[in-house]
Amino acid sequence: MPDDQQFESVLATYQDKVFRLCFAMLGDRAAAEEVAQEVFLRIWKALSRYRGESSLSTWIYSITRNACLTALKSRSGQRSDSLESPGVRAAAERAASGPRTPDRQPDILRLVGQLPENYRRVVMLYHLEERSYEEVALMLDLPLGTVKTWLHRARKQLAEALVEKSS
Amino acid sequence: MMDEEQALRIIDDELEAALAGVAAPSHFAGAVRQRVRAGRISPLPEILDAIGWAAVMAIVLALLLWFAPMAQNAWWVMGIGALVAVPALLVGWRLGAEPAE
Repeated sequence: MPDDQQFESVLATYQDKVFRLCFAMLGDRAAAEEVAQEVFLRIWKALSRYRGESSLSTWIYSITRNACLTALKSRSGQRSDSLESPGVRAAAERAASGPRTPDRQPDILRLVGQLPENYRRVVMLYHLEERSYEEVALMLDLPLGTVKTWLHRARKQLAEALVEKSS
Repeated sequence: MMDEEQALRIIDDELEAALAGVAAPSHFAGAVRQRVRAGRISPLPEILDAIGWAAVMAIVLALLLWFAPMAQNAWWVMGIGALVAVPALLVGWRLGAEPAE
């Protein structure tokens, strides 16, 4: 059995990061919460076997990505996982906690939802993780250069869409 | 007319406002702990299993001794011993097994 104290420490340190990674990958707050809980259950079961061959964060993010991919695969037959689907979009809207103008916020999230999946994840995670390229690269297990390139292209696509929309 | 640089600023501001500060809900850690508690393996079913097996083996042994008093033969004793030991080992193995990843 894993050490409860060790697990509590992992839970306290990583709960927000794991939740945000799930949210970026799934685009749905409710699904992110469910999968993030599942991730911590897996961590609890496997913690005693963690040998420290990779860093703890790398190990945790790898478990998280796998859980998200499994969740995406299992629901892909049931419904679209795009931010365009009404349930997902509503959940994405609920993600905002600041004082937002209700009619503007869905627009940007809808535009993000129209991006290719890999761009969408990078854009969301970049903003979720306070604009840290390194953190995004670590969480998605991507080279730093790839993160920067995808983010640049994604922002360009978003800007073009916004300019087009305004004209 | 909006230019691309303006659009990028708006995008950054909008996404920042929509996504910065998103965190696990306040009940999250409690829900995880609850699921962890539910996921713990209780030894009680295994102990009850072991008691049940021991009772069955004791009855079998008593019947054998009653109907076939050749239990003094060492092979018989070893056979009966194995019948008790194998389930005990299985129970022990299950108790010690880690849940699969």
